[in-house]
Amino acid sequence: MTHPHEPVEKTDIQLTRKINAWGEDKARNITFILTENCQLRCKYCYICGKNSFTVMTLATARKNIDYLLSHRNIFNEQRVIWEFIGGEPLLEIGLLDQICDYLKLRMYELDHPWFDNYRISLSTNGLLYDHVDVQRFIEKNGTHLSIGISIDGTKEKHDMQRVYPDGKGCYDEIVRQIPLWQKQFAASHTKATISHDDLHLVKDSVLHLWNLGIHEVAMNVVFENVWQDGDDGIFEQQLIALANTIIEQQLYAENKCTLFDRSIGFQMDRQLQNENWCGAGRMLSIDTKGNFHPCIRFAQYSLEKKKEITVGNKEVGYDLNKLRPFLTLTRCNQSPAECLDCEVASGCAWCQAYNYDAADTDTIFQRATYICKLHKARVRANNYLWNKLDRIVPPPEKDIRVQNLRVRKGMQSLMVLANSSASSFCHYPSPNSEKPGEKMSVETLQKLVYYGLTNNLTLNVIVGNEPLSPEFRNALNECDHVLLRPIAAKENHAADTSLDVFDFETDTWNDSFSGTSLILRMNRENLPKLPDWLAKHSLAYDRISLFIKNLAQANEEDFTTYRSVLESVAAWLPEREEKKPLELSFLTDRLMLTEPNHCDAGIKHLTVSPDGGFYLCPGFYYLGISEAKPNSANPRKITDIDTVLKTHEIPIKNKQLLQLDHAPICEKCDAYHCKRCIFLNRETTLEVNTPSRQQCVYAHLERNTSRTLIEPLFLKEDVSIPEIDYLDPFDKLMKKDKPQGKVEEC
Amino acid sequence: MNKKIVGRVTPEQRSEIQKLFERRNSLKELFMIVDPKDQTLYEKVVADMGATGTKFQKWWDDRAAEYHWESSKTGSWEIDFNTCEIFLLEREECGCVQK
Repeated sequence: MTHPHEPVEKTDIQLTRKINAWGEDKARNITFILTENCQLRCKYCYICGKNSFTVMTLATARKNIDYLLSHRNIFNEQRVIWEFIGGEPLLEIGLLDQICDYLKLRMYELDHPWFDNYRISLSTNGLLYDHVDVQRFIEKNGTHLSIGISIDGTKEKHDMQRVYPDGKGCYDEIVRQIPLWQKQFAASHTKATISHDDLHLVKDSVLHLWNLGIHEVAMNVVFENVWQDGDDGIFEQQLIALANTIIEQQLYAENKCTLFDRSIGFQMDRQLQNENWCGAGRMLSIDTKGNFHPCIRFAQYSLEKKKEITVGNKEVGYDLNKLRPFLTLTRCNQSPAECLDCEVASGCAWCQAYNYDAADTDTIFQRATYICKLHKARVRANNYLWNKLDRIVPPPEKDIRVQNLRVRKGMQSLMVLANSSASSFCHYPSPNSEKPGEKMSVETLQKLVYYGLTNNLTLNVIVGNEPLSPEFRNALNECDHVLLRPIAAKENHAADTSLDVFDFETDTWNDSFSGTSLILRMNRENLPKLPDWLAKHSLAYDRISLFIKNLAQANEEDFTTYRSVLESVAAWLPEREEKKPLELSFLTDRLMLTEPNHCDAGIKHLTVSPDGGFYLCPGFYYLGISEAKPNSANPRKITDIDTVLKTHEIPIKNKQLLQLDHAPICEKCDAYHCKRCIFLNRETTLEVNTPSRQQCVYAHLERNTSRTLIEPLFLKEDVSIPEIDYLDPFDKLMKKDKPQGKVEEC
Repeated sequence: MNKKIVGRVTPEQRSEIQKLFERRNSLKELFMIVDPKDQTLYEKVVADMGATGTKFQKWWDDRAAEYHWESSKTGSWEIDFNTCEIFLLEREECGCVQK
């Protein structure tokens, strides 16, 4: 609670804010099309039927107002926004003024609740803004009025699109109106449109508008089928350049552009995030003749190919049957499968009327997707900006992007092999360290940093003993990263976040070693030494992850030995916990998990080799080196960073086999802490989705021993691990699937 | 001009003053177009403006008494309808721009 005398420090920055719309979802938008005439012929304008003879009459407007105000049962929102549009509405300023006077009088005479809750809104090209009649209208309606003037950006961009019938641009005439407009509407904001021809001017245009003092810029790409191959690349580079300028010049503090939005670029839930993007049907538009439309773009003058859709008029009333499709439209029931499965769907927009105009049949239930690549480019640029900005101005925990990042699925990191001779940090064998390794170049790393920033990926960098060059470190510091460093060389790799890797057989423990998280690699033959080793050294770390190096060769005797090792550690652990909490991957992880926490190589992360090649994991990279024929490429390579930056695709073949629902033995297993190592799977069973008996038994020995810790660690209330009578889920599967009757021979 | 937060009202209290603020503005703009010859309407609007203005001032008086906000001879209070925060605006000359 804020103390009445305590100044509140504002930590918000404008760039992260939403542009506030008055009334939000409590207001009914009612739009009057005053005229179909306009002085301009903007090249991207959706109004294809402009003409100089179709104008609404005052009588038509009055009758419609009477109808609307007398049907409170239908038009029952708390607030109303009376919108006026054209063509150019200020061409009919006299009519507009009379309509607004009538509105005010009738709302008051009828004691209508909207009298206390209304706004008047106009979108204009601005050419007549300083006309005496317009100024008188502003004076009369100032406290309720909002006027948006469309200015597209720089003179070059504006004059390329917003032109008179003779092709002449109108920038100079509009820009001279801006100071008066800003004086009268302090929170003035503009709406600018981007099309194919002016895509290369986006950055300069946003900066120009901000320099003009228009600090809120709403900008969007046109929905129409005008986009060409390569446009997404131009758009991405424009937005990245803009993002860099925003950060360098700290423009984020006072300016807003809707191209940057913290809520975009995340997968959407089919049930919880199924609302229609467009408000067609929830608003009402009245054309010059008095016909009702779900929005102005369903009036004939906005449609190129299809017949207009009317939803009644004052004589026949509001046709609620015609509204039913609009009110039952959802995101999912109009979108193709590619949109429903899209991992960056949030923030991707559509126009219901353009969907209708472009649809194969006369339907509103077919979403046009011409902006797909542009949206993805925008998402990448947003990720780039927010990932950089969040390192400068950390967002609050409740921030929508912070929340979305926390629950997102799919690719989350890259394992970056900075040096091919770096020691292993998990199940794959360490490479031959006697041979000099291949080092990753700074240029390759910079590309990975860019890819990481634009795709919300953390870089987990696997380093060798040698220190990284200052250039390499500087490049790395641009993004979120973690170092996986050999413990013997930790002094060479100082980093905020790091995992120390200790190889029991090759490294020598030093009592100065300490940190947060340790990876312990150990041969199974040395496992009996583990309890003593933990007792001596575990206080140095908060977490220890165990990887058994030669697990694949374990036999029944090894299983028995490991069981006894686990029992010893489990007997010691509660006492150790009293001194300092300790996480052990092989005993405490299962107690904390309620769902699988597999390695998920190929799903949550990929590995990048020093030359920029993409692999499922480091194990597959080194396996490929051993398999490769002389002078030929690594056969395990999926793609490379240059190709990924161009195509934005990572073509993993049979990717479904990496997923749990395609792993028959693992699918129902509750040894949630098991890494389900696909490299070990491939090495032992020849299939990435099928684990060996050794991997299953070791994981279940750990699972069952974890179970014995529930009571000693006082977790009875929170943790439940059922008792089971098998150590290998394969045995259970075979028992269950064993045919009961006679099996016919094929 | 200095602006600092001096308190906060409840969302319900915010809605009360916001409604009065909206009605006061609507009446002001309606008054500009009412024909004085239409005596009935004219008098109704004038009376309504007076009553709304009184309620408006009473809200500020009541809330000031309730919350004891910091005040100043050369300042005035302002409410942010989005956050329910009350600000004290210090200015050179006296002003009454409560909204």
